[in-house]
Amino acid sequence: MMILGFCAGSQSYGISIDPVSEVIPLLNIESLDSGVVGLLGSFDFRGSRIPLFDLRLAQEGVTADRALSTRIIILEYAGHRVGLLAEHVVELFEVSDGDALEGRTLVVPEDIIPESLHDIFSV
Amino acid sequence: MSEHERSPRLSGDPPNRCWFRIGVWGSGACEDLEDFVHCFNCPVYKSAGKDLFSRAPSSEYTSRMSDALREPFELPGVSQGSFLVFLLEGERFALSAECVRAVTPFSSIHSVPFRSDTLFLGLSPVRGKLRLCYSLSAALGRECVLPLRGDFRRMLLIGRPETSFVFPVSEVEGLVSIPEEGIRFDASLGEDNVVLGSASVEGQDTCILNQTHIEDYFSNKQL
Repeated sequence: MMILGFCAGSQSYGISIDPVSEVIPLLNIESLDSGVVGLLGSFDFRGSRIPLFDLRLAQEGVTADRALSTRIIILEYAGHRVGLLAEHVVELFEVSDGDALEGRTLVVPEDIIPESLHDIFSV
Repeated sequence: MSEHERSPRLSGDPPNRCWFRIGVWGSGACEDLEDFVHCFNCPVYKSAGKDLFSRAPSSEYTSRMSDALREPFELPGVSQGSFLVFLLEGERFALSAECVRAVTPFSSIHSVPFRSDTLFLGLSPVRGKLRLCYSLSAALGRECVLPLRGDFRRMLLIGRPETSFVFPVSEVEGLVSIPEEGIRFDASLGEDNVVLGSASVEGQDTCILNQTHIEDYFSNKQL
């Protein structure tokens, strides 16, 4: 299984590449006051407007660092398309089923993206 | 020689591009090379690479990327794959880029007593690790010549991390896109053949290798 590594503040994560459709650089974001914790705003992407969720903002209350390694991971799952703003997106590695990820928490989109975000945006 | 010159990792000093001064692209004097063999395996080199990405993007870069990714992306009407084209003893071959992990300069091949034969050539140091080295010519059922530096300029690192292997090739030409419709499948070769068919690439006949069977073929031969 191929795993994409990323961070949110002091926490390190890994996500299977299956729901990952693209990894893109930081774009210009239009802020949005939605009340959803972690929803940073939205951006135009390939002809549609999709939400950008900042995991660090949701967990630590501060936005992700502005660095070249901070990227937007485009997730497509269960009919949703969401941009996940993640730090240190510089590693792709392969693990066998059952292998432990060294110091990383393996997550799926449903673990980190709140369901309430989908009520605001529909694909 | 100062401590800094011996090993930035041990001294804690900034690396200051130590790989070009005392690493594998420099004098080779770094003490850490005994442990890591190649700078690719050294945490100092890896950390320096990651530091490049710690810089903040310029607003111009962000705006340019925003503009580039705003418009819908039109998928090509035909399915096509990316292939690495290489030369082997005068013939052109193409292998799906998905299974090629690295292209490296030719490395010496050390035969293994009672193990090496025309197919399994021996062990070759590639990127700091000893890799199993096979002959693609032998896998294709051709007369195998012992690969020598000069005739063979590159090694292709193929397979998964736990079952990777290398084979020497004469030269690598580059990556090309080949539409599925452009591949002439040869049914007479059989399903298990390492050759899938042929295609015209930039006006030249090119033999298309079967990615799955290449990996399986050599994986099954592993010691």
